[in-house]
This record gives sequence, structure tokens and C-alpha cells, in this order.
Amino acid sequence: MFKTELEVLASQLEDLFAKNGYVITPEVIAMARRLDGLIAQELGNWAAEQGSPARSDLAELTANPKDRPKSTPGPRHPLSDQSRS
Amino acid sequence: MKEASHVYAYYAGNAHLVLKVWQFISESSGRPLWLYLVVSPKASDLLTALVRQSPRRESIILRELEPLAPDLDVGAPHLKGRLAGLMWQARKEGAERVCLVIDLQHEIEKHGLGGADLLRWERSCHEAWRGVGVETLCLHEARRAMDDHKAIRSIAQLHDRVLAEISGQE
Repeated sequence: MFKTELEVLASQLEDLFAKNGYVITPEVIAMARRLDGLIAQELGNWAAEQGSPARSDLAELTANPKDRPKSTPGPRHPLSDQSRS
Repeated sequence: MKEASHVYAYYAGNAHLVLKVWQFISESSGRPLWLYLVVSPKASDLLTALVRQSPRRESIILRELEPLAPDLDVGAPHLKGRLAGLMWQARKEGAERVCLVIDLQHEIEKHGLGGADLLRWERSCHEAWRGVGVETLCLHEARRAMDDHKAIRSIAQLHDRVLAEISGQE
């Protein structure tokens, strides 16, 4: 079930990304975050993922600098389902 | 000196992989950045397309690398020498941050590494990365992890242990 969901979402993300000309749009971010969420859930840190700030580093990166918000929530490593030394 | 970070992340599909890489490098904000890629040609093409579209394209240099040879007998010293060379090259060209991006799936397919050998090879790589100053992002295909270990959690626990060993040594 989980694997099927991953496959479907991964395929949708590939299609959307290609359709957008490899630009990171809010839709791409939303879909990637759904994949992150699925994987995080499988990793067992779903609660932590849910409690994280609802910001997107991807959005900040791709936005025109002039359009970026003046302040953003505190730093959180962008790879929500990561292991890090 | 700040230690270089070493991260494992799990992805599904090339587009997700590319976005994971993008997230990993998001802390750079305009500093000259070199990415050494050990990923599939498809993922490399996607990343190139993404960088080309980015306002930060001037500050990001992509270099493809051949899969790192899993010479388990020679191991860390050989890899360390190679990585030191890559670091030197990047620094010489003005890189302030150098990241090695490895898709473990790609390594598995190229070298047929799996199970204990793969983990041994990963340990050897981490040993090599220590002290070189290169940041690493090791990407693991979630579906592959499901196939091999029944759950991503199992492989993630192994990776956590590898990282704990490394941070304990540093």
C-alpha cells in the first residue's frame, strides 16, 4: 500500500516537474512534501514532521529575492526525513 | 573548524531526488557552490535543468563523477586521496562549499553492491570523508529500501548507526 502510494506520487511529481519546465512551483513543493510526509511517516517521525514550521525552503530559493518574506520562522534543516551527523 | 555535514535522505523517483538535493544546498544562499554528482544520468539531467532555471545558476557548478569504486580492500585511503583532489580543484576554482551527492541506488546498480557489502562500502566512504571537508548527501531510494529491508526504518536505523559512529570518532 505504502509502496504503491509512493510510486503513484513519485510518478505524478515527475510529470508535473517536467510539465513546469523544471521550475519549482508551489504545486511541485506540495507534492514533494507529500512524498516527504509519506516517507517520514514510514520512518516513524511523522509527529515531528507535523510539528515542523510550515515553510518551504524550496519556495524561498526559487522566488524572486524581492518577493521573499522579510522574516521567516527559525531554521530547521530542510531535509525533514533525514539522518544527519 | 566547522565539521562538514553528512546526511542521509530517502527519496522516491528522480524528481524527488533532485528536490532533495535542492533542499540540501539551500543553506548556501549565493555562496559559490560545487556539487560533485554520483547520480544516474537522468537525475543529473534533471538537476542541470533545475539549476539552469534558477536565479542562483551563476553560483552553482555541477560536476559529474563516475561511481565511486567499491574497492573494499583498498578502502578509505584511496577514496580520501581522490576526494582531497576534488576538494582542491573546487577550492582552486573559488568554491566556498563543496558537496558530494551520492545516489546509493546508482551505486548499487553500477557495482551490484548490496546488504553487508554496501554498508561496509558506506562506512569506508564515511571514513574517507572525515577531515576532507566535503559535505555529503547520501540518497537512498525508498522503494528499494522497502524491497531489501521490508521497511525504510530498518535501513535508516543502520544509517543512523553509521553516522553515530562517525560523529563519535570526530
